[in-house]
Amino acid sequence: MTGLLVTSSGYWHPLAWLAVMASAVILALIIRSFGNNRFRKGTDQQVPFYSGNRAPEGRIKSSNLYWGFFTAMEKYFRWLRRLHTGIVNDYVYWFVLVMVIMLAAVMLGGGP
Amino acid sequence: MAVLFYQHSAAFAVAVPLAAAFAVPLVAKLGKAARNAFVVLAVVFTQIMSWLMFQRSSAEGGFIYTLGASVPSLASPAGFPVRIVLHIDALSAFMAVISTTLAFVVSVYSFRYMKGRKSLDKYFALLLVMTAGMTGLVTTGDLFNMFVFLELLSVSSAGMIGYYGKGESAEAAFKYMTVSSIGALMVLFAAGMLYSQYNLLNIAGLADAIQFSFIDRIALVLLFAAFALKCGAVPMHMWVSDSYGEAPAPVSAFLVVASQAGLYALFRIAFTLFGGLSAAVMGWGMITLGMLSMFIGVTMAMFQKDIKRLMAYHAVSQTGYMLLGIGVGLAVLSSPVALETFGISAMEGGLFHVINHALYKGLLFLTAGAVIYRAGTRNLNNMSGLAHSMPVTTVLFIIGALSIAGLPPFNGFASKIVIYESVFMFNPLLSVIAMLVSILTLASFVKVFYSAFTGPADRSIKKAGEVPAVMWIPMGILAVLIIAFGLAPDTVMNLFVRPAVHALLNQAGYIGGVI
Repeated sequence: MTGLLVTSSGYWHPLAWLAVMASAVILALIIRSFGNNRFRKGTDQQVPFYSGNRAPEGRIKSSNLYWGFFTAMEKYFRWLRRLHTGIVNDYVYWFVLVMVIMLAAVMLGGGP
Repeated sequence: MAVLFYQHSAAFAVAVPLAAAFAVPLVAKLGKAARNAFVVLAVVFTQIMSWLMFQRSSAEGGFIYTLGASVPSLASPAGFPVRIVLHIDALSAFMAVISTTLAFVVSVYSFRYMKGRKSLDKYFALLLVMTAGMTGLVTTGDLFNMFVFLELLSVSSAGMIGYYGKGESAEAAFKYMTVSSIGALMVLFAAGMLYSQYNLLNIAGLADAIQFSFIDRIALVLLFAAFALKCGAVPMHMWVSDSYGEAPAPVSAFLVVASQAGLYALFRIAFTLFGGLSAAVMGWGMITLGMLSMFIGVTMAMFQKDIKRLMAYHAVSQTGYMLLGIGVGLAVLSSPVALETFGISAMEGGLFHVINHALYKGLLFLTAGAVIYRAGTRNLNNMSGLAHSMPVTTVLFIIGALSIAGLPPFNGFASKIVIYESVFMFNPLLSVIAMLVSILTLASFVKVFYSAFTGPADRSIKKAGEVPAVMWIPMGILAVLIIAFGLAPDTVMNLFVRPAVHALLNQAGYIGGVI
């Protein structure tokens, strides 16, 4: 029980990783301690920076997150939604289709 | 007494939850506390039996248990006993341990989560039937009983999915039952085909006799497709989001291991029953389904706003990793060099991911349940700032999310790195896609974390506070296991995974156990 996991082309040692991360955090804290401590609670320093403007009220809704990603991939997502009809007949069609493809593959290319 | 349990552990692991399920309504007459205690006792006992099976299987390199025989290890050398044979090797025991661990966590969590609901006697009875179905499915040594336990699992799961009994819950249960019945019918059909040829239903006997005739090939495809459907591989995954999404949260967590029982059957059929016949084609079939599951699962998850449907699609996506790992092993089965160089490692990664997935996906569904329990909604758009009032659930969610995204030092990373590296040696593109899917998984869980846990706290939710200890302790158990498995992956690998992979590859050993 050393934590050392040997993989096909190397190894993974979580405890060594933790030690490195802990060292990095300690180093970051040391560097931080040399910084300028002028932070004051209850001042404008706590207001989020929004290009010099007042930050808008409210939150971005979950549905609007990654808007750019979804817009860029719109065609793919539209196609994906179209596949998921929610109709149980379609679920069975997919099952039958997989069976047919697998059967063809095994019959044509699947020798013992 | 200990020897008795040790000797009959396989029978107890199936019979006790089944008998307890029928006894639940009677015990419930004594009161809710008695019923709950009885359910926990039954599940804990089943878990102990699973561990005993595991211990015995490790010590003896697998064993058989013939139900109803004068000697449990009886197997006729001239033929096969006309009895139900349970065949336990390292893989069966591995799966039984996973199933019963989740059964315990889910049942304890359910006491509070389901409190105040109607028909809880039936709920716990079905939970125990599901447990029996799973332990039976992973321990049975014959094909017909595999069908029987599959049906037992499907019918009880459908009852649990439709527990709320109306609207989308009932619809999801109907869809699940329809799809499961068709899948099970194919299993029965395949069993009939093989029986008509070889006069056998015993898996070891069939594996020994199989000729790979035209009919055998059809049977192989029917079994393969049916169990791939059962484990929710794309494009046969659509029932997963309906079922996991509409079932009560603890049931969703338990359905994860129910699907994994289907995965077990798929592996058992491909490796043990057909012994790698047509391995390259079936292996690539498994890899293709795995890749589709990974990518389509995660991209479907990304735009969900229902927290449980989102997690359901991630379950599909994670199943893809397991199919990929095992599929690579199957694809190179006929090439000893490739198998030794990276095939076995890929299979180890795939099976390691099975246990990891059960833990972190179980935890994530339970945290989703905790969120729904307090916020009263599944819609991420209507949640905000839960971390203010639910710090324990938040921490547990973060552990589960980081683990599923494959970030170190959690267990998800340990299995994924084994898969990435070994699959890379097989085909670099597959490995790159697998890594991309992990990045998308992280993005998806960042969205959940942002939506549900950060931001200003809703006043009504803030007042409600953290979920009760009886709900967060089961989640905590899973979180501790996730961290422990992440920090000591070598122990899990050596204790559970490697023997299971060896058992999967050792067809001769499986056959030799009976004949």
